[in-house]
Amino acid sequence: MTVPILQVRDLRTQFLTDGGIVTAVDGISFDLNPGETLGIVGESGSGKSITALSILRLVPDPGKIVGGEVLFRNEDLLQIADDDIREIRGRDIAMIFQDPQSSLNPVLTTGYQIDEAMLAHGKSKREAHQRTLELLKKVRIPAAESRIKDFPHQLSGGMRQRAMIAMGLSNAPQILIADEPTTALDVTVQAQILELLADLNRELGTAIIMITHNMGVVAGLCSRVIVMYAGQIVEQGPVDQIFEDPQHPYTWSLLKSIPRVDAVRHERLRSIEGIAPDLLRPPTGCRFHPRCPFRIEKCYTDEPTLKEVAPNDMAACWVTMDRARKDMNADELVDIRPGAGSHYRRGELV
Amino acid sequence: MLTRGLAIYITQRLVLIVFTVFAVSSVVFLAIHQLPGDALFNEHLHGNEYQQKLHYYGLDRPLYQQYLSFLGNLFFRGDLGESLVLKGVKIMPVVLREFQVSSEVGFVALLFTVGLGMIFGVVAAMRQNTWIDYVLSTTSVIGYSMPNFVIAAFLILLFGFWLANATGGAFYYQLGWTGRYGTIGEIWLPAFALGFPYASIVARLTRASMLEVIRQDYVRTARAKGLREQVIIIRHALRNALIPVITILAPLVIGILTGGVVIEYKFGIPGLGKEFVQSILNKDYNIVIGVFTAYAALIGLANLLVDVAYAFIDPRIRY
Amino acid sequence: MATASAVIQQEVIRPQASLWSDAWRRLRRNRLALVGTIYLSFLVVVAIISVFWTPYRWEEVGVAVPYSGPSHANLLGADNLGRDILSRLMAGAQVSLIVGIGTQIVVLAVGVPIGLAAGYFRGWLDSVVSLLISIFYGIPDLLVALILVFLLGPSLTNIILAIALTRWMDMARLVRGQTLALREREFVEAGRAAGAKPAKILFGHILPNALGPIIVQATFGIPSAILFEAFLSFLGLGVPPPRPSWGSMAADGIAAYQIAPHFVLAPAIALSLTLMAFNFLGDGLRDALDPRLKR
Repeated sequence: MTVPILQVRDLRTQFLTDGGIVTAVDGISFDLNPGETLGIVGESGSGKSITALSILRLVPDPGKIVGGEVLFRNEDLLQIADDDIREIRGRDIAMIFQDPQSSLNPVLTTGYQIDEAMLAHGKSKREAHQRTLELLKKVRIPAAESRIKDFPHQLSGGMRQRAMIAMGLSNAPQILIADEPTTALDVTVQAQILELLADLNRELGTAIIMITHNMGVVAGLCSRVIVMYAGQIVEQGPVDQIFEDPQHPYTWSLLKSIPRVDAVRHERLRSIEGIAPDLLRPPTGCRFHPRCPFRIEKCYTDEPTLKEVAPNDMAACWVTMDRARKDMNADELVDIRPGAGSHYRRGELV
Repeated sequence: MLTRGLAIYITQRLVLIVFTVFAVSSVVFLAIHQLPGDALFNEHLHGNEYQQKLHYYGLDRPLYQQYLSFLGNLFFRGDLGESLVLKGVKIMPVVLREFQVSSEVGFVALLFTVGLGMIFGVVAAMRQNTWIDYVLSTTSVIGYSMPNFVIAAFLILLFGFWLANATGGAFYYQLGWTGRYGTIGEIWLPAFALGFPYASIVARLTRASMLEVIRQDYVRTARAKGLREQVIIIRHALRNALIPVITILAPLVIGILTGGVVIEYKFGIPGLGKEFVQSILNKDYNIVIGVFTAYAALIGLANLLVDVAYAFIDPRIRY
Repeated sequence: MATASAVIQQEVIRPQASLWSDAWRRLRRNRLALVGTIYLSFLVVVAIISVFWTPYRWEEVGVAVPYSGPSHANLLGADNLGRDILSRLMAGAQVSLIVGIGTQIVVLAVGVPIGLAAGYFRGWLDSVVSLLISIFYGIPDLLVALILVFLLGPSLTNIILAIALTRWMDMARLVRGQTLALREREFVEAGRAAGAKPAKILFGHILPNALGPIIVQATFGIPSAILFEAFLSFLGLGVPPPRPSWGSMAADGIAAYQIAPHFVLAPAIALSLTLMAFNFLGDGLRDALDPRLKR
């Protein structure tokens, strides 16, 4: 039994907006094992980015972490002093972001910004310069020596993201959190970046938390996945298993909505009906129920908790796909609108 | 970062400056020389004396000749001619001496403007919506809404009058200028009055700019790297926040240059501005033309300097 | 017939407000702008009244002891010639408002057409206009105004012209920029395709869309012009005496600051308040018309 390097317990982060309190992250718990690649997947607004930011206490105003623990090396990151969390940022846990164009300072050279990551944690200028060069080569940026002196706007999107990855790995952190690193890039570059991350994970043993809304990215890179919806985890487990046999209707719908190369020709492209829930006034009961094809009465009133519904697979659902397939003919349903599979016995929704 | 593009740009601008100065001073020259002859002299002269004076200054020649020799003197010999009122006094040395005085005051005013303005702006931004922010923001709106001579008047009342009375003469502000370089005691008040309205504008702009920059993604990246807050503010945020401020630096410097005219005149500071106003009232038109030309050149140079500085601060700018 | 309580999310559909009513709403909520507008309305009323009536005739010398302080008879005291300061202050408002608004009218009349033409037709016209604008920016505005006023004689019209001459470029540059941006928009293409004449496109399509920034610029231009006039008057080259202008009153006042501080304070405060009010209003207008701010 490996000891996880990161343990998140009941994390809760809120935003104080004009309209009221929005609970963006509502009681998230998960573990990260050393060297593991964990994917956090969900729509925009599901709380996945905020979860990542909360780990490093980088939540912007008007957000506040209001509960939970983040255990790293026997310390609760949410409780330690400001100076201590600063030490950890960039050195033990590093984070890279979605849009490398806006995430890099336009008036400083690329090389300097990578050096900075190391200078902030005690390396000398000479060491930093040398390592920056090594890092740029490692992330496969051609002509690294001249790239060091270039400004971010002089690099292509793919190169900028590689530079960011170099920045993130500069102090050989144990964990790298990547917040949608490929979303702003075009598809061919996406594949290269993912391959790079996979190689680095194998070579350096850095655990990676990959945040994305793209199931394909998760399939390509991660060994375990967490599916988030409306600030909560709805399913988590090994990638292969979840993709093969998702138990939560949301995960199932997500996977169904990806156009597949091997799909039957006349199968319609399905999308999940409805829009993301308003986190100011989240739905009662199960938050997915307004859009769920397989809801029953209990879903409207009782909030389900994460339970092991299959070996290694935890899901928060009263129905689960096993039952949906048995009782509701889930696989044969052509029309996947909310309540499509739900059925009634004696006028009652069961 | 002195690229070929930059060198070409500077040359183009210098040409434009020369052209502008030439055009503008020509217009002024011609306009003034349209005046009938006896309006040119303060005293009432008749007959022979009048003709002599006219001849001495070359004012009896045809207009185009006067114009050409004016240009020739200016560009080839750096000679701005001679004062009409004070015979024999060459203008160029006067201009140079007074330029030094004006630039002292102007420079201190610029320091106030940029220094105070930036500091206030950053503080207000970092303490957004606290009482410090409200006080600073309100002060800055009041600041740029007040004419500089009003500010000066208040300061004089305060330092030259009320405080002096209250403390039995311990604080007293002297109007005027001693010696070649003046004294700090004499410079600070006019410089402050000159600079304060512009400092307020800079503060406002810096605040708005900082607030935007602080929300940028690259500041978040800097935090994620584990940099200290101070470092983030100065090295990452401020440099980007100052870019919009640099763009208004040019009109600001020009404002200080021209605002100095009013301040100098009323505060007995022997600078270019005072000279200008006095010469107009004295009808010493040669000096008027000379000082005006100097100002036009200064403005052009100030504009150019600021634009070049801009290129050095923001590496995305390519000329 | 489910017994479940269905959660119905209903999106509140707001009526699509136009830019102007939306802007008006936002402006009304801006307290500083509101205060500014109230003050300015008050000022306009005072100025108009002062044409017909002031407590004393402002040119009448010796109604009180020179330099005397505020009293029942003279609410703001008397100036160096024994004239009532309050009356002169009221009359001075006329000058400030006339100059302020007058210059902007000229600037609009000159700058807007030039900007539109340069931005729309481009080519050599734009090059010439841009060159002109660059040259004018290189001119020391105060100095030119001083010379002009001195040569042509200090009258209200000449002052307005002198100020407008040195400040038209701000408006022209703004309008040119707006035109350049707007001409690429689809509705202009559509208009051209339909065979509309340039004048119609310019005034019917482009100008209405550029109106917001133009109004803001003009609103900020007024205090700028008032300040300019105050400078001129302060130096003695503004409106000729005995007509009162806040600037010249301030000049006279400063000369006597030791014996009569109220003399300089009155016009100084009046100037400051007026400029502040216009600036608040301009800020409010700019925020209200900014399309980037959410409703």
